[in-house]
Amino acid sequence: MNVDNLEFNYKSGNVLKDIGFELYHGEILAILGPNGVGKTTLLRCINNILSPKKGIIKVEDEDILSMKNDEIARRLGYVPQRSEVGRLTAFDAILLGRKPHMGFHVKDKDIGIVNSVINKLELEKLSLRNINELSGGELQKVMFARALVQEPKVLLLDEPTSSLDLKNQLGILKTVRQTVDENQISAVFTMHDLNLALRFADRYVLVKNGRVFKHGGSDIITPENIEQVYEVKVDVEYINGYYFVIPID
Amino acid sequence: MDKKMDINKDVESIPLNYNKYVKKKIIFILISFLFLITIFFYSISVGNANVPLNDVFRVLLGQNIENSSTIIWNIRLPRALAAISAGVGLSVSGVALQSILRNPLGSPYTLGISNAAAFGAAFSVIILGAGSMHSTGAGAVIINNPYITTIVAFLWSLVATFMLLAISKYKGASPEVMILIGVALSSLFTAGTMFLQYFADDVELAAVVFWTFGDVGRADWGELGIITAVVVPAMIYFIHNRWNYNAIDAGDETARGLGVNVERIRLWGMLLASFVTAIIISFLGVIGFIGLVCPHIARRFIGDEQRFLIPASCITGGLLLLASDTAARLMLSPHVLPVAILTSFMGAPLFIYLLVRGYRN
Ligand SMILES: Nc1ncnc2c1ncn2[C@@H]1O[C@H](COP(=O)(O)OP(=O)(O)O)[C@@H](O)[C@H]1O
Ligand SMILES: [Mg+2]
Repeated sequence: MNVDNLEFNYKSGNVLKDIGFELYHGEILAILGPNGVGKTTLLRCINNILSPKKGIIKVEDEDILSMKNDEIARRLGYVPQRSEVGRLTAFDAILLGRKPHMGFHVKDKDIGIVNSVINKLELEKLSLRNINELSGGELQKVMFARALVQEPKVLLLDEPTSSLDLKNQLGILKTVRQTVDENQISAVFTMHDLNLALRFADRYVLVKNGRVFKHGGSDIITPENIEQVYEVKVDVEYINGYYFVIPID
Repeated sequence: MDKKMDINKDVESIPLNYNKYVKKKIIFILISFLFLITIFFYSISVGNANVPLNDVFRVLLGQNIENSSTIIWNIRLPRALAAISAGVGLSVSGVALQSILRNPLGSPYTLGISNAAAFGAAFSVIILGAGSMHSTGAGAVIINNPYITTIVAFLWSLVATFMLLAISKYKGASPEVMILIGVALSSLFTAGTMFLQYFADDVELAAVVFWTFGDVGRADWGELGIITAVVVPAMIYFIHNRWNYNAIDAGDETARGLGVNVERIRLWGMLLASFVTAIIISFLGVIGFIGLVCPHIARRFIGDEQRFLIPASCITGGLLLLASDTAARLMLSPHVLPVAILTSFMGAPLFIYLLVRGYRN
């Protein structure tokens, strides 16, 4: 996947400018930056939910911005930060993810794919429960499952862990990691918890003032860069095989 | 080896359960359909002159039975079919609008279309003089030139529709704002109707009030044909778009991520639902609550999944309006009550009951 020179304005003003990065099969990218810097906007642009003013987005060398809506939806699976939940079963909610592939009728193949994702994410017990009766963690898993049955090349996850407890945070990110590895696809997520991001991502984009401030591996998560982007003084420590960002007052 | 077996068993057991669950919904839909058919024959057989069911079948199969044939072909059959057609049309419009506007109160009524049609009727009677009236032997009032009233009512409901669509398209209004615009339009047209009525004489006033009470008995075969010719394609359109509505129910952003052109689906859905409502109301008068209550009844039984909800709402709509009309004919026999009075009477308590039960769950 390849993003180059992306630019986007809301009516209220310039949000993103000159955004570029690349991402390979089997890799996870974390988009990091303070609140309101444009992370969600960037995900929406990649998906062409918001049309960028200029720029190029390619997935496996195919130009996303010139595709039809459902062609995009077959390549990019997007899990927004919030969705509405009605009185329908988890199975049906996940089945909705097959929409970009479906004709008029649900085929056995669609049911089969939903089924195997349900098995993989261990959602069997809740598959026939209504999603408005699920816990936050369970619901997040269902939304993730919906994106998986889209069989996308790239997963776009907007703050997938923001409403979850520690166990569920780790659970969902482990599932992302596993899925990306097994299917050799890519994932892009935004996240506020730097330590969690450092544990699961392969690449990082630090966004500042609507531009890419730094782009690279975990070596760009340095005290200097963090201070530049978040305006907080930190130490970066290496503990038990992971990097940790620790604020110092 | 054992473990592998277990996994395979799991894989098979879920679709089995899911199939069971789907089957249950389909059976519910089939049963309500059978119910509809039963009431259909019942409603043709009962009335001022009871026709035995036996004769009903024979007449419908083309035999000629004195008196019964005339009653059935000229009065009861078009009336029953109009009730079904209007019920389906109002209910399917309601279920689509509830999804499109992301609001359980979405219905043709909420968008001001009914009030606009009523205003049009008042306009035609009072300003255009379509309502010089006379009484028939049975004591019912009849509008002399019903076609002018129908056409003017239809035009005004289109005016309301296009005002709504123009504002929402031009300002990019959210569903919440559309509902509010609908409420505003409703009260605007109600005020307009009251203004006209203030200057009307007794006879005109009676004609307007008469028109406002929706009555499925007004349709002759030709009008029934027009209503059906609009309702059936609309129903097919809504059923065809069921996955789009499912996606919109999951949130605009999710829907866009799934490749749905949310704006276009919303615009077309509103246009079509408004058009269907406008046609029905213009021919039959205002019939409240069907478009609101029937989808909610269907939801209680079948859930929010549009694949099942849309067909179930269609059947519930046809069933409820036909049953109400049959009851309205029998209640004060030999007087025939306009069905709208009954639906409004029953609709409100039924709706409250459904809501209270829903929240308790
Ligand atoms: N629909 C919108 N219209 C106008 N401005 C918006 C809209 N959505 C977000 N913004 C603005 O764009 C900026 C980036 O927002 P967002 O992408 O949500 O940030 P983040 O996800 O990084 O917290 C913010 O300043 C926000 O106020
Ligand atoms: Mg955000």
